[in-house]
Amino acid sequence: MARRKRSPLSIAACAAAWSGYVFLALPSVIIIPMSFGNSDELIFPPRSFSLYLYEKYLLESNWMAATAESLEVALGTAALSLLLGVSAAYGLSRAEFLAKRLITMFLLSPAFVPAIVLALGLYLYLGAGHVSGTTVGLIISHTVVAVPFVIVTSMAGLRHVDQRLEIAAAVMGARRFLIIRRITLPLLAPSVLAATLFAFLISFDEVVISYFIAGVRTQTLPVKMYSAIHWEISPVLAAVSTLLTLLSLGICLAVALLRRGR
Amino acid sequence: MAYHLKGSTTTPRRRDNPVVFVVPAALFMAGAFLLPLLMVLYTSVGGNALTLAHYAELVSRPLYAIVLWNTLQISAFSTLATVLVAYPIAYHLARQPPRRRALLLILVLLPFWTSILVKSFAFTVLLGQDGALNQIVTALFGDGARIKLLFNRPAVLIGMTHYLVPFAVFSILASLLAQDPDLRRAAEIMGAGRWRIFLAITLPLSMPGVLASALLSMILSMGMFVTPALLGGRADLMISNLVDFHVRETLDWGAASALAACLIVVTGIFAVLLSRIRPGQLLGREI
Amino acid sequence: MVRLEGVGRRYGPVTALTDINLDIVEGEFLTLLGPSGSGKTTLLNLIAGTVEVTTGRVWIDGRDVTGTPPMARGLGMVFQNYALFPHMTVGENIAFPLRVRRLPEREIRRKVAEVLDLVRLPEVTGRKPKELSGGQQQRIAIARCLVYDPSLVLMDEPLGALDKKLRQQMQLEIKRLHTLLGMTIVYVTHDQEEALVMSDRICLMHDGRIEQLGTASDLYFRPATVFAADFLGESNLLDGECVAVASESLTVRTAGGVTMSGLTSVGLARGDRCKLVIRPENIALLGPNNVAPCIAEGVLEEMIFVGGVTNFRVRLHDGVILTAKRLTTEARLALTPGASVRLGWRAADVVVLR
Repeated sequence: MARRKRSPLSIAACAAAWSGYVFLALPSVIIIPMSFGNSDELIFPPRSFSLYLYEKYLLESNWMAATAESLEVALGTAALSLLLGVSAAYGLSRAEFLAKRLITMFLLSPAFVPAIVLALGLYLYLGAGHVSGTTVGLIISHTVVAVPFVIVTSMAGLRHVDQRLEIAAAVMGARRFLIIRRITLPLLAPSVLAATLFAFLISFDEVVISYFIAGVRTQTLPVKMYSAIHWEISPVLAAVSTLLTLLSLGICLAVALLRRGR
Repeated sequence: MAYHLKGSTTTPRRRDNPVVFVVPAALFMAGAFLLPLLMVLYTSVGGNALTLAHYAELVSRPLYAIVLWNTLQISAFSTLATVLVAYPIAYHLARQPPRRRALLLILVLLPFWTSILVKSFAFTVLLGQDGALNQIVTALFGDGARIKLLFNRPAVLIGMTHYLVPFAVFSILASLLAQDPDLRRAAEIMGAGRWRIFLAITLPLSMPGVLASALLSMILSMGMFVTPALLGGRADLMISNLVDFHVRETLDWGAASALAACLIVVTGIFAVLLSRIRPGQLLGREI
Repeated sequence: MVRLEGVGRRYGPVTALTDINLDIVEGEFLTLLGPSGSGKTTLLNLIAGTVEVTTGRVWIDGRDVTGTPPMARGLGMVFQNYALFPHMTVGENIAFPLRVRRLPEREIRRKVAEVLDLVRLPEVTGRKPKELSGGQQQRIAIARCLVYDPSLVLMDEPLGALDKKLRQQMQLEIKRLHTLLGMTIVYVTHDQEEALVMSDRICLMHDGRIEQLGTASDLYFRPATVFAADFLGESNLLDGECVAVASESLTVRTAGGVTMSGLTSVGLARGDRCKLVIRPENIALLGPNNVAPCIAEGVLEEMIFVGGVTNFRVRLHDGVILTAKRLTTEARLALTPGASVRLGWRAADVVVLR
């Protein structure tokens, strides 16, 4: 079809959309050049370029300890929420039972409860059980937030796994666990992988709950960043932020590729 | 002769129910999510004392009314701004061929998955006294034109809108993509111009998505903590910041819990409304 | 082989099947035939165990399997969409039921090669199902079902997705395998031609009940109900009233006042309302000198040329319309609408139903 002259509406819509894209991209556009500045003050655009801030980040033990703690918590959260979330998604999409809708809503509801409320609840609750301030406590808390996303992602994936394949396997004599292992999980793998990456990232970026329950020894990277922005606005933040942005970008692209493979 | 299944052919077993797969997550959530929430409610009524004193204080002290009003106002304005920014993006994405759409969608997904701290930090750099924006302004109009953009209401609204737009785009895009393209084609053949098609068909049909995105924005912004804490000033305190204040500064857990309980109720109302319109799309992420 | 006793299935308020009693004989090819929504697929799934009965009992091989999950029933099934596992190669697909049964790896390789020979596709072991044509995928699905020698095989519209030519070829192929291997096959289809070509017996289903059970010629020449007569082949259906009853034949006056005689087995009495069924191919166009046991005169309304045969729609003088189906000849094509014609048939070709 030969395109007609573009109408004023479509030009306006296009302009509005692109302004939106620019607005969304703004933080990354600011942060990345900043991170290559070489001074201890925050000036945009930086006067000269170097890897000074990255060096500072890598050499300062505070930052490294926080990063290591975040990594540990995020890996633990990814593993735990994967176990709970994928299994729950399977049950929710393959079983019929009483109050299924209600239970689904319950399992997804942590995504809608304000983080501060959860943070306060976990602070009061874990404090009573002496788990507050430990890595395990952080993993449990982050898993509460990550599980809904794992469930949603896996359920979307399970909708694309033809149930007739599972029935066919059952008729051929396969038991449920064999069917899950040989048929369902291999076909669900892209979604499970995407869910794992999401869970990891959710935990790695989680700040409000961690801010409430992390101890001195278990300060995570976001908590350290939060105080850094709140109290000093240290230029090292630009380097940390750039690395975090790259992590998000990598996970975004990986998930996009997984989606396309489906 | 058939190859028989070992052991299973002679003993017909009850068919197993996959509901057991939900049990671990349900138990975990009961222990690590429901109990903490109940703990908040329990603390808000003064524990075993069962008093409504903390709630009475919420009503009587003007500070709380101001903060609640702040919260509602900031949430409403950022929701409005979010829908206005998100709609053109969603509309633009919906008109793209799938490959290009997937590519452009990364521009929305990246900020969605970027840490709120990274964004807040970026905005402090962008909007600060010597920030990028002020440098442009001073370069153009001299030093006197410097504007205060950080630690005030506009900074909070900008930060919140930036956080909310991706959620809204997903929700509106879903409702735009669900529209039958033949409807537009039919209207075109009947002689309708682009404006008319947009106003008479596209926009009304996308209203559920717009409404869902507005409700979701309200839910998310009411509980916002990081953005007002880092980009706002004293006058921009929201409920979440007050909860934090009580936990850290006054150690008044009862008041903090009562505030949190109010927050649950208010966001709960919006969540129920949202689940009425779009039960399946609650997380805005099912694209 | 399979016995269904008073089997029924409800989905909430909807009844999919009511009180099905059916005995399937060892080694037979039984087709469940019916329009969509007649309950044939539900019945197949009840035998497979993928759907549970709400009432009644299911017996397979003398074993009461009611409530037994599908994996423990030890039968084979071929699905309409093939249900080949997309992430496994053809060889892995076929080996799957054998691995479930923990056969030694050498035995598995031997059986896979054997069954691929059997379906005449020995070359495709290493390929993924996606890389095969629809017909080839169907052969693999059948191979995967046969490889563990189930004595009962269920087939759910297995040829539904294939085009006509390929479908006919596969019908003969399945028939060949049935004769060769001698297993019991329960086959679901909505295609009457397929049912007539393949089956030892046909179970005609309608509205969740068995309408008629019998051989192809039983159903075709001796339909027990108006639905059966109408569903299989084409029929002229006339309303009438019994005027005289003999032992097996009776005389009927049609609504338009023509008197005809025909055969019945439904026990009608004088004065009963009834339906007459005459197959179009049993009605001849008579020349001026031909005679027939039953004759009616009318005017040709319309001729529909459908290739090898032509359908002639004739309005009798009392207003009743009959269709005659004759081989196409040039002389017959020379007729024009409006021409007077004489139709003739035998009383034995008229079936009278309630």
